[in-house]
Amino acid sequence: MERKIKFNKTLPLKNIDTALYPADFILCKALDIGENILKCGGEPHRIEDTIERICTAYGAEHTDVFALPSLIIAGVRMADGKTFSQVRRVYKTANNMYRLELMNDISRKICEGKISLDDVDSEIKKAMGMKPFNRYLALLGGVLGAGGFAVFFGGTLYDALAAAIAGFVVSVFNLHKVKFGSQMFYTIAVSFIGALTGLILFRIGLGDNIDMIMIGTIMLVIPGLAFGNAVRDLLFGDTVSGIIQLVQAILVAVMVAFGFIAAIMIFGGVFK
Amino acid sequence: MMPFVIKIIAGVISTVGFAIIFRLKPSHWVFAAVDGLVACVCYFAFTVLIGGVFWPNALAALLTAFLTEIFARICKAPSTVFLLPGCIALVPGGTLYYTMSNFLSENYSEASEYLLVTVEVGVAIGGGIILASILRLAIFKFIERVKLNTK
Repeated sequence: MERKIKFNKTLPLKNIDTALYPADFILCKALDIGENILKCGGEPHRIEDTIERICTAYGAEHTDVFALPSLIIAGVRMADGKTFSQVRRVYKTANNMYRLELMNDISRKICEGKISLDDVDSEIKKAMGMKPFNRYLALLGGVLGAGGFAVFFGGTLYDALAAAIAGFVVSVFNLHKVKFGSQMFYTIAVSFIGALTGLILFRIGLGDNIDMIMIGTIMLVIPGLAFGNAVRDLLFGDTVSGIIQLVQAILVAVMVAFGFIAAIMIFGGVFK
Repeated sequence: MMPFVIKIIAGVISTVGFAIIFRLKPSHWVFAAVDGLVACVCYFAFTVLIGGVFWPNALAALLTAFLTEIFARICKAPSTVFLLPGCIALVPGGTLYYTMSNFLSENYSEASEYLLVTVEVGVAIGGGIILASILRLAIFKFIERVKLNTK
């Protein structure tokens, strides 16, 4: 007697007549969800999984998805043998876990048949309009993050205060999405401004160790876990997206260093 | 002992800060804070017990990521939601800064040393996370098998 274990597998829906939906429509809606997950910081393999599940639920016999941090390619083969493929280009990603959760919820409900594909557009629109909290609370996040890390890496309370003010300045820039041209230049500018704030505060006399103030500020601008995520993707087998994320992480780190060094140069002699 | 407690509290506070920056739902902040607490405590404990750089980070990342998978099951949310703020305390911001500052003051040997440590910590975190997800798959498959057999 053989018991095959089906781990969390999606089956074609029974309560919805999936034959009513044309294949390119199914693929388009699945890609809409995938695109939104990618935009709010989902991993490529999560997107591949989501799209495959939605297409399978709506009767696709075979689904091929390939997701990169900036591109999704998907193709389906339906039961009647017809094949379709579509491509989505994604330009800008940001970490928004609340929206990621909502999108994940929508895709789960689609696979369970609780939301039909006709309602996906309105559901996505509704999810885009929902906010977890007042957007100005993100400023508090920057203050807590920078101040906490100043102490975490061995600073005093005065260091934490200075780092918190620098973190506040960085968060204001992040919140209002001040346009500085390209993403890379934006990173340089934000880290320059954060470092400059820290240095000015240190010159005025707030804070005991310039190192700790700068480290607290740097944690806000370096791409959190991007390097760890890249290594994870590489080890997981998503070599291409792992390499892309690795290069992005290294580039951003270099840009942050560039911005900090520029600020230190202006204040010259801090390290001498 | 006291400095460790203060550092751990600071780590948890900054974890909550990053939970806000990553736009977590307010009801999930507690889970993120617990995750951050585990990451900080494990990091300091393994630094004292084992020493070095690689293993404390890898083991802390492993335990944090595994806890993340459990929280994801409880809250029915993707695991990234808790992983990003949870592991933030392990991110090598300090060594990255020292790499930079040493390059600037032309201490190239120290700078490259700090650079290598930064890369090592990154690899350790990635390795810890991947181990946790392998472990999760194995354990959940085992539970599934037990459930099937007892039916």
